[in-house]
Amino acid sequence: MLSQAIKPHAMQVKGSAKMHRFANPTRFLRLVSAIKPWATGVCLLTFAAGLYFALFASPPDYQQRETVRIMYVHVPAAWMAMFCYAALAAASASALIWRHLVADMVARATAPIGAAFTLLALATGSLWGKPMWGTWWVWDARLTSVLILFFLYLGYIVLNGAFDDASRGARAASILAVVGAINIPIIKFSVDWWNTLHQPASVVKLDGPAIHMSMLTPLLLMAIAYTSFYIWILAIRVRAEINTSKIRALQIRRVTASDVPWNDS
Amino acid sequence: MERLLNFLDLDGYGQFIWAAYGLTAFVLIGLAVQSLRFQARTDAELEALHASPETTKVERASNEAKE
Repeated sequence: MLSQAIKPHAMQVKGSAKMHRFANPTRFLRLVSAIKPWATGVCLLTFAAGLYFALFASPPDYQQRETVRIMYVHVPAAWMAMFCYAALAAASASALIWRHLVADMVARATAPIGAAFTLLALATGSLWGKPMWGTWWVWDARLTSVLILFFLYLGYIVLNGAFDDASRGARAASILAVVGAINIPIIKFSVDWWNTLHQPASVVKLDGPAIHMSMLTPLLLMAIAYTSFYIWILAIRVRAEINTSKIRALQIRRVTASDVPWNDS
Repeated sequence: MERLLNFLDLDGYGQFIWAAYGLTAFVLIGLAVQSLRFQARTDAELEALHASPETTKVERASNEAKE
């Protein structure tokens, strides 16, 4: 069973021996390691400042009163849910087109982070919806398309691990990620295309943000905190993915070396 | 004490607001811990493989084959 699962791999390793020297992943890892301490620092500082402004130094809203404070954890989570998916789809497309090893690892490392942000966007949105809309959930276009985004992330993660041959799983998952990218503009414009319960954009607008500075400050600080959190976790997970790939290659080399009948060593 | 309770109550919406912040902290810290463990596990596994005499033998054989 083990050798059955590993043989297609062995062929691939032979076929693309140069790629498996890990020259590119190593170089990429060096870049990621250099960025990581900066991302960690920015993440901790902006989280501290953002939480201070979000909970203490910003005023309640004239309509939504204190519940507006949920916005500071909900909106950045929703932004990152979409940003991570765009990164996942772009990395998956690169992996499919150029068979770039690093791109596949970035995609695999991004998926759980994006899924976590999407889950947070849905859950905190629900906790905001109950006191403001009077309901935890409605099948509104924005909410439904974000729920589909969450399922796309889960589908990507499950497909990646669903095959004995990891490269086939990665390919199937990449195709899903690229096709699923159609959902991103649907999420973005859902509030304009359909008359839904969810409010339209108030920060990212052509004529500037329709939100007061006292509320924009914590929102932007939290957005920087979430982005640097993504970079920090991405650095950790890409390194772990590169390790996993090296471990697999070493194991395959060991199995193929001992499998070949004319190898006496 | 009353000031603290007032602050936590957040005009009657405290349960929703604190649940949202608590859940955010739980998910983000959980993801960070899981990612650090993933890295530590694969670091250790790779190191063990590199240190294994079998791997060294296999690597030597593979290098000789290339030559």
